[in-house]
This record gives sequence, structure tokens and C-alpha cells, in this order.
Amino acid sequence: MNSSEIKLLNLTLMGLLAFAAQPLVVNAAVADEASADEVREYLVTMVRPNQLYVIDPEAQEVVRTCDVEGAFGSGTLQLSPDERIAYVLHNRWEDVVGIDLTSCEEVFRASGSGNSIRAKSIASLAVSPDGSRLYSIWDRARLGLDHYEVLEPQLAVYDTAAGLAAEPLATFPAPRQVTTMGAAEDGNLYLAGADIYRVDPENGETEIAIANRNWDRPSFSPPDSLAMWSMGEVANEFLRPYTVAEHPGEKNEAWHWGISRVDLATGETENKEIAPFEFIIFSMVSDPRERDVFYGVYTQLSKLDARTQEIVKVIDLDHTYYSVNTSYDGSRIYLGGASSDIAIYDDDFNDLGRIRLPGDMSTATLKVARF
Amino acid sequence: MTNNKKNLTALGLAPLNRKAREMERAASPEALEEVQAMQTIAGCTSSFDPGWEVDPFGGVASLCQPMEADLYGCADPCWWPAQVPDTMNTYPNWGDGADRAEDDWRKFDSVYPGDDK
Repeated sequence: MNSSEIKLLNLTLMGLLAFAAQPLVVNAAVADEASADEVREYLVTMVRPNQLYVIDPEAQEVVRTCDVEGAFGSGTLQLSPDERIAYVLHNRWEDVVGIDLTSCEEVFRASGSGNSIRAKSIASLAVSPDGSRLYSIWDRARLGLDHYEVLEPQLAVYDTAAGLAAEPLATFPAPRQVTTMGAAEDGNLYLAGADIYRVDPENGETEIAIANRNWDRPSFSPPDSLAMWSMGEVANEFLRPYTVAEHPGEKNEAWHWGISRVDLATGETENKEIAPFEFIIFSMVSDPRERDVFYGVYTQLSKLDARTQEIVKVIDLDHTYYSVNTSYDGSRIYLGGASSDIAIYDDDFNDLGRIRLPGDMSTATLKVARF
Repeated sequence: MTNNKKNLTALGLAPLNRKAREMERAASPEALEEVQAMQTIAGCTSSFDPGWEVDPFGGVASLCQPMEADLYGCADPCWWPAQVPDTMNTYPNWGDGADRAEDDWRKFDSVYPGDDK
């Protein structure tokens, strides 16, 4: 498929999805801009104190800055299917706010807190493939005068058209220790917790999709994992890296990076080691052109190949970055989070530049949107 | 992770305050399996990483570089509760006016119980 066909398909899909899922007032804005401009790729992230940034990575310029009412945190982002609305976990991890990236208009807001309950979501956001539902998991505590009562975590299902004081359509008990979430095209939700869980958001039924803490691999230690950043939109996958020791405590002990992954298009799951564990990686995405090639970031940018189990390339960075992403054609690597600049590299790790921002991105996700 | 089935005393950990003693008395060895380092960052004191002083390899080379790049990434999710005030709950305004830690680190101040939050 050539690029013009891809663009045409995107526009067609965007039109269908916009009519299906978005409020009428947004449709008008979307239609105007879609007809006027060709589809472009943008970087989207949150910056302290409370700004959502839309950035053109080719021009390396800020296109739009949206003030989002409330305090920073966590800056976890998920996009609507037409990629024109960013849902951000905001206000010290207690609110979800939907912002139209083409206009900065606030189109959705929900809070997990209220009625003496303080609810925080630890990066747990997902949007259904049709854009009609937003999912979050709230870790809740009832604040008493002299004690706190820790409540059961709650999966909340919202109608994305519910406006600026949205209440959940449904809530279900959720596992503890869940961080990132992904929504698959088969309607299931995937949750990164002690294991990777599969949840039916229609009834809350939960099962282990990929065993991590509960895996049965006698020659391996339990895995150690960190899942704070909700990328995966480019390859349409839900991915969590882990480290693990093979033959722990024995002479042939070997440490590996591994991945737990869900293909959000098919629901297919996999769990495997991909390369030696020689340095820290905070987040990882696959190359959209070859999904067994992975890019990882922390204080190094690395390229790992699961087919050969090798670290293909690694370079030291100016400073630590948390969040890695790629362009949709796989030719550029984007690094964000942590400090206040976004770094851009090509797929051979040649430095293509920096975009400096006025505040730190901290735990925010660096997303890639096309519209 | 292989120590999950041991009680705290067997791990050489001695409770220092009432809350810790309550935890030791109440928690069964099986229940300790619910607590695993790096598997959760939900709020202060739930993270058992060693802190800024030591990385997972026992050195310092793999810590975030420089510290300022990591400062809000630690304060915002209550990652290192002992080293920086948490902006999630207790001192939400600690970082006000210091949006770029790399440039604004001199503005960060100490906090004390009873401070104006």
C-alpha cells in the first residue's frame, strides 16, 4: 500500500469513527480540518505544570499547546481511534481529561475521587477500539478522620460522550497492582499487573492472559517488570518488558530481557526472552516493520533483536528518558518523558535533533498521533 | 523474589515502629507474596527499590542521569518517598514554579510536618 492509499484509508476511517463515536460539536471541527489538511504525524505529550503539547516531529516545532485545568500527573496518555482526542490522566493521578488535539477543547472529564474517597490511577487508561468507551482502574482509599480504609481497586467503564462530569456506566472489582492497560479489537481489556490479565469489560470477568508472577518455568526466576508508559499505538500492541534470571543461583545463571505482549488486532499473546540483560530499560516498543525488533530507552537507547537474541545497537544518551516511541513508518525513534526535551533519532541512531519544552514531562507518555 | 515465603525476621529485617510490628504479626508468609519490588508503584512506601544510592547491579552507573532528569519522575509517583517530598498526596505544591528541574533545582526546598502544603 503506498502512502497516498494509507492516507486515504486513514481519512475514511477517521470519518466513520468520528460519526460513530464523537459528539456532534467535535465532528464539525474534525471535518473542517480533515478536509483542509493532509494527514500528518504528531507527537503528543504532557508537560509540567499542566500543558498538553502537540508537536510536529519533522519540522521539530510545537504545533499546539493546550492548558489542561488541574495539576500535572501522571500525564499518562491514550488516543481515540481517530487519534484526534487525547485522554490524559491528570490532576495528581485522579482525573481523566479528554482534549481535542485539533482545537484544545476539553471534551471529556471524569474523576475517580469524591465522597471522602481518594482514587488514584497508576497509569491505567485505555480506549475501546470504536472510541465509545474509556476504561480506567482506580486505586481507592476512604479517608477517615483518624484512619484510611483501603478499598478494592475498581475498573470503571465510561461513555466517552458523557461530557465533562462523566460518571461510570459500570464498575467492576479489579486486581491490585495494575498499571498500564490496553484495549483489543476483540473487545477485551488487557491489564499489566502481577500477571497480564484479560478482562471482559461487559461483565468484569478476569483471567490470566500471560502468566508472569504465576508462570510455571522452573529454570527461571520470577520476572521483574515496570509498566508505566502506555505506548504501543504504532504497532497496535500491548507490551511489557521484563528482566529474568535463567538458572538463578547456578553456575550457568544468565540474565535476559523479555517481553510479554498482546497483539491488539488478534488478541494473540506471547511471552519470551529477547536479548541479554546488560543495562536498564524503562520502556520498550517494537519496530512496526519488524515486530521482533525492539527499541528500549533509559539512559541508553538500544535496539534488541529477538530473532538472534542480540543487542543490535546501543548508544548513551545525554540524560535519562523514560518513554520511547517510533514513527508509523519505523524510520524515526522518539524519546520523551523524564526531563524537558524530546530527542529524535533515525533507526540507525543518528541524532536528528531535540525539541525543548518549558517543563518536565516526568511520567508522561510520548504518543504518536496522525490526523 | 525467592525470599517471598520467608517471614521478615528470617530475612534479617527487624520492625522499628508500631506499624512495622503490626505488619509482621499480621502478615502470613503467603501474604508476603503480594509484595514484590518493581511490580507496583502505587503511592508512597510501596516501592522497595534501593533508592538513588544503588542501582540494580549494586553500583551507581545505572541510576537515572542526571538526578534532575528523574526528580519529578520520582516525586510524582511517590517513587523514592524518603528522598523527595511526594507531590501525589502530601506536598502537592512542592514543585510549583519549578517546572524544569534541570534549571529550577535551586528552588526546591525542604519540607517539614505541618508545613503549608
